[in-house]
Amino acid sequence: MTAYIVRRLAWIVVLLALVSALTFVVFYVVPSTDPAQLRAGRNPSPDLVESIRHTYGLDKSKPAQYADFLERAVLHGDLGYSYGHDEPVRQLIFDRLPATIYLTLGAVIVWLAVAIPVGLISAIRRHSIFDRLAMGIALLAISAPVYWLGLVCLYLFSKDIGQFPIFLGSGTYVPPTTDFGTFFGSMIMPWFVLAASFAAFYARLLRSNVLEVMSEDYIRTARAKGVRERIVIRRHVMRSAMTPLVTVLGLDIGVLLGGAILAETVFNIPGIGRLSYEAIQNGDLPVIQGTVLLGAFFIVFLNLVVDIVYAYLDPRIRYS
Amino acid sequence: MLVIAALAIAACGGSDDDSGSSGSSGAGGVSTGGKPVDGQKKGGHLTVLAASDVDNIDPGQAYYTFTYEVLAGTINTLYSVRPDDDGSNPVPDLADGQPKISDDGKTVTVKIKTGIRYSPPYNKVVTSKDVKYAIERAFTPAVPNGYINSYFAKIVGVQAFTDGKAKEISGIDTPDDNTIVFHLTGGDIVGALVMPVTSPVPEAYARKYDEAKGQSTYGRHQLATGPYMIKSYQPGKSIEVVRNPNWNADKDYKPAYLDSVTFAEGYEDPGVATRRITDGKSQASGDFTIPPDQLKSLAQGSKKDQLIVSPGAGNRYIGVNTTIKPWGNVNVRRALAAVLNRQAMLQVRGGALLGEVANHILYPTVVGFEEAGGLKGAGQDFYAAPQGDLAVAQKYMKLAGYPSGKGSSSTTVLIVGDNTGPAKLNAEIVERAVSQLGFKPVLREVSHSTMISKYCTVPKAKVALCPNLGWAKDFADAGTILDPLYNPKNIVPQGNVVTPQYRGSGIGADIEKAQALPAGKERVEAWAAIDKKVSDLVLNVPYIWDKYPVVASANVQMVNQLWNQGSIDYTWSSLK
Repeated sequence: MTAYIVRRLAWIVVLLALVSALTFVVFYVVPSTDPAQLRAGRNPSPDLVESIRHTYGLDKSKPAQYADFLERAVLHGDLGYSYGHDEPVRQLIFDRLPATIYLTLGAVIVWLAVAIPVGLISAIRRHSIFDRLAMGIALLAISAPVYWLGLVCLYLFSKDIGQFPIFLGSGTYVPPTTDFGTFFGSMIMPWFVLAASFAAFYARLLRSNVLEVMSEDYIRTARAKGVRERIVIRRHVMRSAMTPLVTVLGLDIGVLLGGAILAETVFNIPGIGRLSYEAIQNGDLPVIQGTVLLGAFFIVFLNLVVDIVYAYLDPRIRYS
Repeated sequence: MLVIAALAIAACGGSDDDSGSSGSSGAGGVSTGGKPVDGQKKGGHLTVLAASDVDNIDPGQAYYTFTYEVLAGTINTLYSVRPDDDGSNPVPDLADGQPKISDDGKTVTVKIKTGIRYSPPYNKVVTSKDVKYAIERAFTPAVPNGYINSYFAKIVGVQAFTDGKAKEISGIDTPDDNTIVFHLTGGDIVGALVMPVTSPVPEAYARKYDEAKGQSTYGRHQLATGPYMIKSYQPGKSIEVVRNPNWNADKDYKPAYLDSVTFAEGYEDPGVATRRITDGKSQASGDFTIPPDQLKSLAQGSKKDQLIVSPGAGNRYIGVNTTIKPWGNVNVRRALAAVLNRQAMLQVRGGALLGEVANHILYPTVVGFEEAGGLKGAGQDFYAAPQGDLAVAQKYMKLAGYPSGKGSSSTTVLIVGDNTGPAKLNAEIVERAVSQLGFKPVLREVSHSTMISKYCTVPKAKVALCPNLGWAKDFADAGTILDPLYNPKNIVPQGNVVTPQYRGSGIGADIEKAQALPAGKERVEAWAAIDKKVSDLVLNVPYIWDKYPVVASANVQMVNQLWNQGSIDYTWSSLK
């Protein structure tokens, strides 16, 4: 197992190098904007544009720029300097990452807390009113875009502009270390809005997995042996049915940690997603590259975690 | 006042009302100017909601309306503009009295106030050398400044300084701690003394930040001389300003009623932000444009007193590249101006509340606007019909050598416009107008930053028409609009805003002559004549004179900066 993990970690480095090369090509070799010109502002003199280009190293050859980037990133953990914020990208990312982590983890807890019981009950009571109702609502939740749902919730439930003022609204985020009560209150709506479509999808996925597993021979055998239904469900059905969920969960957490752009934007949460959004809007290439790399890191790393968790969930899986 | 369209270009506007009320009532009952009133309350905290961050918090680099709004309370420029003035009457701020200009106009002497102190941790007294250093640093690569070459390059010795042949600008003298003298090669510098670059920066304190690797980091450590100082700046999140303990109220004309202000950024949805402000307390809008539907309902509803719409917020025009056929032909350009439905261009942006149909480049509140024809324009028939007039367009097409009154469909016209929002709709209306002329439009819709940096300011991109451009004045002089947009000497391979790239009709010589004139009636008339000329030659097609709306909570006595595109002036606003 240890050798496997080491090998996978090495692959993570290779993958990140590939991702960085790809983002470099996309954003630096064939860029959609000229950052020096954008930074220079309106009516700049050619000298000013050139001096900015020189300051950012954009006047070097493309391979030299990429080599510089790799050297800085690998040797010093330096992801470059934000054109828009006048701040190191690494500092910006560290500054924004906690909010994204809180948002993601809270939403994960919400969607798992909703999806697992709903999916399970729907499967056990297949075709019941509960099942039909739950799956109908799930379909609606999957269809509702986060941005739209967020705005609807704000207009309905936020304390500042809502018709039924219950929760703190947009722009109220504060770090938990500053004021935990306000932090918690400000995150309730974002957590539920972000979790809605995931909860719906996971409930449907779990339901179909449970139904599939319940038709397996070993479940019939367990029941024939007189094992109580509750134990059959918990020890045999759930364990198998959860495995595909873990795969998807790992990827989803990775994607969200890379930036829940819509939720962060609509609720004005200063996380990685909003940082990416601003960077794309402003053509802030180093920040785009930094956030893309961060997202890629989370995805490949959580894939590794998922594979390790697999081994514990399914005893048949062995890594060598 | 950075920005080429799409971002809310907004600017100064004046109201005829000087009654001292909270603003005059414009068409539709909308308040058009938030002015100071008697008995404003002292104290309290205001939150300004904004979508974006400042462009750069360093006064030497700042070039964006919202940044000016933030810095208005923390810096003292040599001269500044009272909130209810459209920019044409600057008053001494750091300066102690009006500038003394020599008879030949080439020497400008400014006395500065004594005893103005910097905020902690520096605490020292401001001297004229600090103003000199502030201007000099803006000519260095460490402090990229977008306007310094346009307005301050006429100081003697700038070239030697930027070439590295001189350690200081020889044309700026500081004979004593309270006098600064500018020696000019010609033209006028007085109007530009309101720009943030004239706020003092002490070399002894700032040098270490200016010499940091890459660009100066002084902005993050800047000193204040105004009533407020920056307590914290979190890029993309918030800026907090609090009272400057070293500020001397007797030496500043700003009342500074509020105790503190937070600029809360990241409100990307203007609908939510507007609602939050109008329904909440102690809040005001920053850099975002209120959505047209909300604007309409605010203007017509019970909260109309919370809304101020400022005229003179900039212009919007179609950039026309005259080096590309058939746009080198003046009559084809006139045909485009004639057929374009400018009323529809305005309607998709929000209608009369957000602007007026334009018929020349200078816009209301710019000095020279009235001399250039005012709202009626110069009377050309190709600007006469706001909804567009195909018959007039065909007349000009015939004059251009198209006997049928229609162009050839084999002539393709590359149009590059924005890919979102009303700007996208504007581009599509222009596409239709080109079709009506008989040409084959090819519309490429891209993000605004791509449109600007890769297409519409890059001559080699060979874009014929750019429908989403606009411009706003830097200060009251019309030259801040006409020189950058039309002077052929400003044509550059990248970052080119002289979209027409037109070198004929003596435009360049006219502009140089106007630039050389000292401030006064002759200069104003010279710029007005140039405006008439470029509008008659349709070197760009103007279509909107912008207005800019701002909102505040009901408990805010809102005062706005008419000179700064109507932004909230927190040094004059107060809580009720």
